[in-house]
Formats: sequence, C-alpha cells, structure tokens
Amino acid sequence: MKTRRSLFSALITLALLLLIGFYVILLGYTYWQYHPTALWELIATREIRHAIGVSVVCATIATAIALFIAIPASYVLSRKNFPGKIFIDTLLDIPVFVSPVAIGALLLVFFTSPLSKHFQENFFPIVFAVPGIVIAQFTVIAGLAARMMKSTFDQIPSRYEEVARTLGCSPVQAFRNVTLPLAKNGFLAAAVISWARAIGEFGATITLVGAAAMKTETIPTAVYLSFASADIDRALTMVAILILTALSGLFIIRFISGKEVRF
Amino acid sequence: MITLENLEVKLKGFHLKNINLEVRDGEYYILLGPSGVGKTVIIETIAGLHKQRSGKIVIDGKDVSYSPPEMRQIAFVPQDVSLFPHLTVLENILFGMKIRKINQKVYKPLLDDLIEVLQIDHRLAVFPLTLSGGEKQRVALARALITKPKILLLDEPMSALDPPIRRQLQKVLKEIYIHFGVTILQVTHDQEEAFILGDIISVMMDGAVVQTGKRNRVYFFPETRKIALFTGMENLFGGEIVGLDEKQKQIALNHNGVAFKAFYDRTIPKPPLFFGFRAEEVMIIKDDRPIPEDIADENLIVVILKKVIEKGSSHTMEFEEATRHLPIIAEVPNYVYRKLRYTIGQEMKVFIRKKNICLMEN
Repeated sequence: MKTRRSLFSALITLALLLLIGFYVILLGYTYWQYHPTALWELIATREIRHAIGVSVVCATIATAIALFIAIPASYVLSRKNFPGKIFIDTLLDIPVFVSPVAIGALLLVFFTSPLSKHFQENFFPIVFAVPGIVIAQFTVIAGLAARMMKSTFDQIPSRYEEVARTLGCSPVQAFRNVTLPLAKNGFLAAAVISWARAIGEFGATITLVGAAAMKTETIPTAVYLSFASADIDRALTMVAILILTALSGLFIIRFISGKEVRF
Repeated sequence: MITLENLEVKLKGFHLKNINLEVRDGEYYILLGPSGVGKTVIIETIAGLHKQRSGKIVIDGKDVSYSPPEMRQIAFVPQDVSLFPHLTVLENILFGMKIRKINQKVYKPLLDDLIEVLQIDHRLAVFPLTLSGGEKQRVALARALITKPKILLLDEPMSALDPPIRRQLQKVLKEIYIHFGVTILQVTHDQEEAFILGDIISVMMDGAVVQTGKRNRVYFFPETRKIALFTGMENLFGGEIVGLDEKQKQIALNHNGVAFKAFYDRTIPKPPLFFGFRAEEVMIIKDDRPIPEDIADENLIVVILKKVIEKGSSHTMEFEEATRHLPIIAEVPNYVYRKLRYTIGQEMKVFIRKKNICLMEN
C-alpha cells in the first residue's frame, strides 16, 4: 500500500515537472543566446511603447466590461431555472470552440453591416480602430469570464442568500453582502484569467482592426508582423515583452487581492 | 400568532395539501414527522423561501402569503445553520442589525443578554469555520433572535449533533424560549426531542398534518396506529369491542382472547379499531406484595418474562401473556429493575391502567 502511494506521489510530481520543464526548456532554448539590451532598445521605441499601452489599456477595459456583464449574467444562470437554460449555458462556450480568427471574421462582417456603419458614423469607429480591439478582446473573454463566475456561484450554496433574506436583506443586499464577498476569490481568478487571455488575444483583434503601427498595433500583432517580415530578433523581443507585461499584470492583480488567487 | 390556512405547496418531489396550523404567541410548537415528509418545505414556505400554490400564511393578522422573506419578521435557522463564512461570529450575529441600520444602543442590551445566555462570549472574534457543531447552533440562534422575530423557525437544529451536545442544546433552546419569551416553530423527526421541547405537537405524515395537540395528548393518545408506531408506542393491538358502558365511558376489548378495559373520552374510533399503551405505563407487581385494591378493576395480566434488554438508563422487559402468548413490553427504570430480581421464564403479574390505554384508528 505504501509503495503504491509513493509510486502515485512520484507520478504526479513527474507530471508537474514535465509541464514546468517543457515551458522552461522552451523559453530557455529560445532565449539562451538572447541579449537583454535588445529588449530595452525596443521598449525605448515609441511604436512599441504605444503597442504595450494599447494592449494593457484595451485588455483592462475589455476585462472590466466582461466582468461587469458576466457577474450578473452568470448569477442568473447559477441561481435561476428557466426554459432554454442549457442552450444559453452552451452558448457561453462559443469563444472556446470557435477559433479567435473566426470570431474576428464574424465581428468584421457584423460591424461592416449598414446598421453598425450608421452607429460607427454617429458614435465611434470600431473597424480598424482602437475600440475594435476592446470589442474583439471582450468577445473572446466574456464567455470565459461568465463560465468562471458561474462555477464560482455554483459553489456558493444559495442557502446563505435565503438566510440573509430572512434576516432582512433584499435580493440585492443579499447578493452584495453575502454572495459577492464569498465569490471574491472566484472573481479575482476570473479577472486574472480574462485579463491574461485578453492581452494575448491576436486572431479576433487582427481580423477586426488590422495592425496599423501607432494605431491598432498590440503586442501580439507586433509579434506576428515581426515574424511575417522575418525579423526573428524583433519577434523574440516582442514575445519577451508580452510575457513580461502579462506576468506584471497578473502579479499586480494578485498583489491588490492581498493573497494568492487559486484557480 | 401564525396561522396557516389550507396551505398547498408543490415542489419537486413534494405536494403538500390542506396544511392548517395555528401557532399562538409564546408557544413552543413542534412539527414532528418522519424524514422526507415535507416538514422543512412548510417552514421554508412560512419563511417565504417557496411560493404556495394556494392557501394563506397569516402573521399577527396580516396576510404575508406573498410578502418577500425580509418583510415577514420571522427568523429562520436552517438545518446546516449557514453561518456566513466570511464574517466573524460577532459580525454574523449583528448581520440583521447592520442590514436594517439599527443603532448599536438599541440592540446592545439584547446582544449582551444573548451572548451570556448562549455562552458564546469567548468565540465572538473567530470565524465560523473554527466553531464546533453546538457553537454554530448557538451563534445561529443569537443571529436569529437579535432581530426580535415574531416567530423563530428551527429546522432540525440538532440532527447533526452528537447526543451529549444535543442534550445541551435542548436545554439551551428551552432556556432561550423561557428567557426571551420567543414563539418557536421547530421541525424535527425525533419524537423524544419533540416531547422534551414542545408545548404543542403536530404530527405530519404523507404530506399532511394528521394530529395536533398538547404534548401529552399526542404522546399518550395517538389518533392512528401509524402515529402510534412513529411516536414509539410499543404495545399495539387490533381490538374487538365486546362491551360498552356509556355512562362510565368505558369500553371492553378483546384481542385474541385477551381482555382489556379502557376509557374513551370522545367518540370511539372507526373500525378497524386498534388500541395500545406505552411501555412505561406497564406496571410490574412484585411477587411478595398483595395486589393493591385500587388496581383490582384495572387490566391485570399474568405474563412470562421472555427477554430483558439493558439500555443504560432503563431496562426493556419483554413478556408474553401466559395463556395466549400476547407480547407485552415494559420499560422499567434501573432502580426498579434491580429491586425486582426476576429471571427469564418466570411468571409474574403486570397491570395497565384503563386511563393509559389509547384507542385509535388504523
């Protein structure tokens, strides 16, 4: 029995080592001859600083909007039963099984329709414009955020809300004072994952807004453009910037949350 | 006063019909029934957590059938107590006060009183995760009582507790009931707990309330054989009426050739008639003692001792009637049993008073 347990222990540890080892080898092999001065030189250029700024700002806005909508939407899905619930629940997975480029194509067709053209003329441009980046990122991450928040709400017994109601809470007060505080960790996890997914988003973004330098260029599109023009050093530097930006963002969210976010 | 008038509730797996209850101010009311009969559904409906199909819920003369839970002025302690895990014990207790924005000066005297009576003063700063089952119940009671509810609804408050903690909490519940003068409606499947705590007991079976009455009435005089079985009446027999004295309100019964006499205080139940008596009401007459005159007209039966089961606090003695082998069970306190010094197979006499024999329907 003891041997079986230690074998099991060894196997799961090996799996973890393989996973981490794979990423470490991938990065180590790619960057072992890489000179960090190239990183600072590239960051110093206006174009890249703009791309980093656009990526961070757009990902943050898209995450905020996605969570703002995903929280109440997933709460309804978690707590209420209604006809067609399974169908709606499945729709949330569209961004998972439809590739980002296909989502971008859908968005492009939709936002070049006469109705949305009218909207863009009177309010703000979307196609080949910065707001389009937010929309592309939002489309990809909203379902993911809702899915994560739903599983968080599913794990919180509705009994807490019921007890809160008998203690004088309205449904809104029960949600705000009981459910939301209990969902804090799930909320932070959803924010972290959504933001990380948004900042790395490429397919839907490039399809909807293109990759105009100093305009709609994000870090992932800059990586693509560098590879497309066979500038491998620049591409690797952009990948390093993307990794560093994403990691910094994740650490900041975890730091603000005050404790480790488990997901 | 809480009144349920012809309440009908339909939920997945439950269809409760014609539920009528009346809980008067200051009463400790028990809804007793086997698990899965719908007791919890009833108190959750009173709390406003389920919608009824028809019927009324009236609290202090006001129809609250369609009022949301927060407008009903009730407090509900569910079976799992559901203390908010992200709040400390004190924050849990004061939750209702904070929501209603009630000034600390208003609730402070009651808070101090509750903390003292429920003995939770040393646990106020901790989170519920660290509390024992009994402590959780006490905190949940404090959280409910501080809102000064018109009625406190308790759903199986002791079902998850160990016997010693359960006994402690029974005392606590009795104490808060007396100390705070609160009206309580408690659901339980434990007949012993029901009879320890309740003033009025309603027995629920098959989705309906089948008997309501004062504790002793339900305990000693169940109206049907099913209720008698559920409330633990050990001696139950089918009976044939062989004589009736309407003046004395006395009835003569026969079960397989063994005669019994009983009183009836209302109408005689519909046939098929059953009768029974509790094991604690079977008296044993010592061999060396003459039969007292006052029991000469009671049910005196010659029996043979078949088996004795030690139960710690008492002994269960299983007899057979000497000629017809009718099984009779007696529950005897330890000190009585020790004085008896009987052996298995020995013939002896027992008697059951007529007033302790209960007539019932099937």
